Parts: sequence; structure tokens; C-alpha cells
Amino acid sequence: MSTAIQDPAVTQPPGPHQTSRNRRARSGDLARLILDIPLGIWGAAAVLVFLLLAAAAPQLFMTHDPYAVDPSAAFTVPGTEHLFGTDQNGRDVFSRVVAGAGQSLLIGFTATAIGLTLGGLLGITAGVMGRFVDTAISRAVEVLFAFPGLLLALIVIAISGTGVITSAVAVGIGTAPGYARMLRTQTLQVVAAPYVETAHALGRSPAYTLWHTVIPNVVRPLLVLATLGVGQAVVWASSLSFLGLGAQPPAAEWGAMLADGRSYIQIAWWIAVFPGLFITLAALTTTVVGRYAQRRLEGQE
Amino acid sequence: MIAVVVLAVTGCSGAAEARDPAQNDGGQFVFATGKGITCLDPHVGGDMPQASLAANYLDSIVSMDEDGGIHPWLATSWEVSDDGLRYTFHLRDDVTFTDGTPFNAAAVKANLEHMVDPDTHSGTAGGYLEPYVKTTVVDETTAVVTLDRPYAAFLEVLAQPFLGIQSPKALQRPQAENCASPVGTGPFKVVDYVPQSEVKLVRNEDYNSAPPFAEHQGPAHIAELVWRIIPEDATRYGMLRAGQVDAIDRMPAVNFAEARADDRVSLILQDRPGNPTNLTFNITRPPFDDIRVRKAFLYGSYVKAGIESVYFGTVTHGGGPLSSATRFYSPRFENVYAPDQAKANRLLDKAGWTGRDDEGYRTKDGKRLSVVLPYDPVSWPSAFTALMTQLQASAKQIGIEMVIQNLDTATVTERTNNFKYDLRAGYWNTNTADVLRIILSSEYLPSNGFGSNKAGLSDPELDRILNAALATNDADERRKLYLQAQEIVSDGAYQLTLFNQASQIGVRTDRVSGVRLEPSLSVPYLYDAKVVAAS
Repeated sequence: MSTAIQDPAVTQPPGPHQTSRNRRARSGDLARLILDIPLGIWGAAAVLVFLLLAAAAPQLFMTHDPYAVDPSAAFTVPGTEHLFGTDQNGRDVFSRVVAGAGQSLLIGFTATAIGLTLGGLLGITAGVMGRFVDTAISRAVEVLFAFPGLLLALIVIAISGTGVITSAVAVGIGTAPGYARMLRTQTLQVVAAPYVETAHALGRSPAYTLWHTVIPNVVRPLLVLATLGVGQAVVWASSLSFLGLGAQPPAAEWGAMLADGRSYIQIAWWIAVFPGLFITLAALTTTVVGRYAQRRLEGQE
Repeated sequence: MIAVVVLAVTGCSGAAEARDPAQNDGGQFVFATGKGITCLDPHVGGDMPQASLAANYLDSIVSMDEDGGIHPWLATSWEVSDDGLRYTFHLRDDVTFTDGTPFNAAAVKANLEHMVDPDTHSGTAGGYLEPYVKTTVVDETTAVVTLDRPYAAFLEVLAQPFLGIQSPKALQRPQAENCASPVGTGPFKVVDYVPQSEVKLVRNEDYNSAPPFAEHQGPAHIAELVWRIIPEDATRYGMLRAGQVDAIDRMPAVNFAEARADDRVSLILQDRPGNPTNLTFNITRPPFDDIRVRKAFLYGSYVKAGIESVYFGTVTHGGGPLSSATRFYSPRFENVYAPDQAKANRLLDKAGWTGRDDEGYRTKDGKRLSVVLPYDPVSWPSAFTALMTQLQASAKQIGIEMVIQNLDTATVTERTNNFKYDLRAGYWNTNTADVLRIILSSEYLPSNGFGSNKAGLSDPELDRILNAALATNDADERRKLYLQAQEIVSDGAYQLTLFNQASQIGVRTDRVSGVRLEPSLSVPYLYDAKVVAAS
């Protein structure tokens, strides 16, 4: 962490909360901070920004209607007219990839939010309540751990049916046990920390301590965890669509496009390769950015 | 991504199985099929993958040749009573099932009764035997089958592997057991079955009942037959190219050109008789209870263009109710509903679907014109899925929302059995024009015990014509009646027929020879096959 050491923020004594002084010091040195960030992170961030823009306003990038079928234009090689070529139904692959960003990222973020919320509720409750509640929740989470996350998601889909929303919920539930366990550990650490004891000693009520001291310190590292989780959720959601359980045709969802394209890989590689590439990019960039943020935060503490 | 890895792993799992022709004279033949089999016994349910396998381990009472002629098999001869109600079969006395049970008149009786038993849930064989009343065992080698009406197609359906003859002793076991290890008199016997993975068969060394269409007599040439289930198109074809399997069915359309250019691979292609692959309209509920909406859907569908783009000319367009390989087929109905969007739009306007919502779909009384196709992507080749997407797009152009609902096989079956759909993807392979009775006559409505009438049609005039065609053996009279029937079905717009079902087998001719198609249903027949070179 050679770069982090030069950060004036790090020279501040480590504490549970960032002080306002700390934050001021940061904003004053924004230019240096920017220079400190490695090029790879900038690259990842740029791709991520493109993906987010594509998700928010696909019409900015789409060159064709992603759903316009034209059998006579099927299997067109990538070129100037069709940047990523056309698929088996003559649809523009680039426009479909752009249109798919919204679906894929939406599922990724929603699923992560659901997973974190569920996992957070379970983990924090277990960590704070202690004893019987902790034992009960921990055992229940262990039972859920017996199922691989994707299998758990498949079970949810088997019960509630296919679709974009259900697959987001399914992936969310699938990831919840992992978050629950991590957050329980984090909560236990925070509850045992000296500043929580101090809060007790100062005569704060348990509820006040929970809201103002415990939860903020448990939740802060979550932001990083969430960024890492989005990448995983995008991959899982694509896997479900690949299996035909997520987005329904003709939706331009990356996993579904990959599934459609795999039969044609020998004659038209571009139909499967580009959606596959973007699944990889989405997972890679969120992970790289998330890891970097994690290191920066850890470096501060 | 995970799924890709899983597929790659399963795709390779069989690669290590080296075969050793020296170990067993005749060698091992590995066949890969594209559609899963839930029960091996072809009497239960009755889907094509069961018939394909059954043709290799079951014999039938009679056999059929390439021209539709009926010949002896387990029956050496037969007489039909003048009223067409009684069939007297004279049976071979020297045939034994592979579990040691002798084949005789009682076995014929046990089989036919197994097929019509409601507990067997026999949609295909049981459906064909609707006119069946009883079998009388006269002596060991004479069985008399009584029907409740003349049934000109009776011998034709008896020749199909779906009605193959199984050991009566084996049939007495619980259904689940018989599904996993059915016993016949055929050239191979089932020795192991791993559900949805593979079936292992070995040669029946005592085989002495080859049919007239076979090219030799006595035991089969190959010693062991492995029947692998590989639903993934690219994987199955890749295994053929890599030499992990000797032959595959459901040759992926996208790979035809490459396979044709490969001198180690040859293709066996044959259109099948029956009802072409189609989308059947559910006419029991709106909006397809209105013939104008059905016709609009037909005029709005660009089927030929779709077939050319995703099937690369590997299937033949089937626009009428019957496949062109069916006896009494008339070409007159092939292009009745050639694409015409203006006509489609006029019909929908007339039907009152005049509003438009913000997505451009037609509405009536504020309700969107939306139709649902419950779809099981695993059961269909990827080219078919692409075709469905194209039909979805062409329907949108005339303001119809076609929802393709991806579901698992069991859910699709449940929906199908309860008329919970607007469109249903299907086909019916059988060697007779009587298929029209199976798929559209009121006898086959679910309320009457069988569920093969997926349109929900009840038309007394059509019923009468189809039954009249069974009551006569006069070919000209039958042709006339089946022409009328085809006309009624075409006019009624009960199905969007797409393309003829076809057997499309890819064979590694550098490794095996003698792979043929069984004539009644054109399913792969490996009795005459030989392993010529080991890997």
C-alpha cells in the first residue's frame, strides 16, 4: 500500500468514525488523490461508467432497434454497419449488448441489495442478541450453507417461477447466507470494541448504542462488500438466464444471449462472444473497483 | 458461465470410455440422442425418443416396408373379418423374450391390454387403440382382436415401435421398474439405465425374429449398444466430430454444411409422416376462440423466411395439416396462409381488436391482445427457439403480443394437459393420415380420456369424415375423405404448421456402417449396423 501511505487521511489516528476534519483533509488534496489511483483502476472505472450509462440511457449508444428481427440479415459479420455483427434472427448484437446492460446490472444491484438486507438483518440480529438467538440463526444459516448459492437460487425459481424479478430475488436469497455470516462476525467484533463499551459507560441506552454506534460501524464495510457482490450477482443472474430461467425471450439479457449464441459458435462466434465478454467485464470491473475501495478503507484503519 | 463449465464437463465425461473391439466380437456402438427419455417403455406416454430406442429392443406384431405395405413379423399371417371388426393373428411359436418368457397369444393380449389400461397413461399407443375392445386367446399361436368399429389404420399403427411387444411377465412389475428395464424379444436387451444420462444394451444372442425389412437374420452384429442422452446440440455434434460417439440424432441445422464437407460423416435424412411441427391454437378460450384472430396469426407469420434463416434449408416447409411423407397427403393446403400482413390486420380490425396501447399492441376493451406459448427450451433444438423468436417478432408487427414463457418440462406438460395456453408447440409422428383424428377429433379431447386434441376442437362433421375414412379399405374413397378432412382442418385454422418432422442422423462412416431407418416411423435402426474401425 505504498500509495495509501502518502494519503494524508492515513496519517490521522485510526478511529471508528471518520471525523469531519479527516474528510476536509481529503477534499483539499483531491488532485493528489486522483494521481494516486493506479491506471488499471481508472480503466475499470471507465468501463463501469460506460456500463452504468448504457444501463441508464441505452438509446445513447444503440445503433439499431435491439428487437428488430430481419431473417435476411442474419449472421452478418461484425463491421461498420453492425459493430458486433448480427445474431441468428438478424438483430444487431451491439445494440442488444447495450440494451442488456440495464437488465443485467439491475438484476446485479437488486440481487445484492436483497442479499445484503436479508443477510444484514440475520447477521446483525445474531451478533447483537447473542446466545439463543445467535445459536438459532447461526445454525439456520449453516443449513442454508449446505446448499450451493446457485442451487438455493434454483430452488427459489422452482417455487416462484421464472422471470427477471424472481431471478433477482433468487440470486439475492442465494447470496444472503454468505452475507449473514460475514456480518455476524463483524457485529461481534464491533460489539466487543472499546468504543461500544465507552458508549455503555456513558449511560447510552442499548437502542441508542445500537443505532448510533454499532450499526454504522457494521454497515460501513458493507459498501465495499456490496460492490464485490454486484459482480457475482451479475454472473449468477446470467447463469440463470443461460439456463432459460431468468429473462424471457426476446429480452436482450447477456446470459440469455450467450445461451442463444452458443449453438452458432462455429459459424458466428460474435453472437456468443460479445455478451460473454460483457458479463466478464461487468464482473471484473465491479470487483476491481470494489477491491481497490476495500484496500483503501483497510489502509485507513 | 457456470453452466458452460458444467456442460463442458459433462460433455467430456464419456470421452475416457475407450472401446475395445477385441474384447467383444462386434464391438460397441455409441449413439447420442438429443431429447431426454423419462420412461423407456414406449407404451407409457409415448414420445419419439422412446420409439427410437424401442425399435432396437422390441419386435412388433406386424412390420411395414418403405412403401407402406404391411408384412409379417411376430405374426406370420392374419385374417380380417368382412365387417372389419375382428383381426385373427397367427403367431410364431419359436420366439422367446429375453427374460425367458415365451412369446404367444397371451403375450399379445397382455400387451394390448397394457396399452389401453388407463393406469399406463399411454397417450400414443393407447390413443391408437381407442377402438380396441378385447383380445381372445384361441390357442398358443392364435389371438383374435376385436374392435368396436372398422379401423383401416390398425395394422399400420401395430407396426410402430410404440406398440412394440414386451414380456408379459415384465409388464406385471410396477410401472417404475418396467420403465427402467423393459423386456422384449428384439435384437438388443436393456441391461442398465441411468435416467437422463444413458441406456446400456447388449446383443440378444438368441435373436431369431428379424423383420422382413432387416438386411440379415440372427443376432445383431454389434455386441454392445450405448444410448447416450445429450440434449445440448453443440455438445452432441462435437462428440460426433471428436469420435466420442458413432452416430447422433437431431443433427443441429447449423452444422449440416460442415458435416457434409466432412468425408468421415454422412447424414441420413428422412421426412416423417404425420402432423408437421406446429403451434396449435387453444380454441377453448379467448382470443383464439375467434377464427379471425387465428387466421390473422397465420397470415402474419413469416414461416418460410424464418425456416430458411435458422434451419439453413435442412427442413422442408410443411404448410398443411399433413406432412408430405404421409399417405393421402394433398399439396393443396401448403400455401393457403401465405404471409399477408394487410389481410391479417383487416381480420384483427374486424374481430374488434382496434385499440393500440403504448407498446403498439392491439387492444379491445382496454385488454391487450396477448397470447402465451409455454415453452420448454430444453426439449427443442436451438434453431426452433430462434424460429419462435422470429414468429414473436412477426406477430408484434400485426399487434399481437406473443409471450414465450420458458418453463421446465413438467410445468409445460401440466399446462398442456389443462388447456392453460394459447399456443402449444408440438408434432405428431405416425404413419397414417388418421393422425388428424388423433389430434383433432372430439374422441381425443381430455374430457373423453385422451388428451391429444390440443386445439380443443369438437366438430361432428370432421369426426364423421375421419371415422368414415377408417371404415373403408378402398384407397380412392379414403383419399377423397382425407382430402375433405384436410380441407376442413385448413379452413378452420387450428394450427400454424411449420415444417415436416424429420429424422436427421449424423453417422461416422469411418467407424460404423449399416445404420438405417426403421420404415414405420423413420427412427434409427441399428440391428444391421457394424463397427468397422475402433478409435
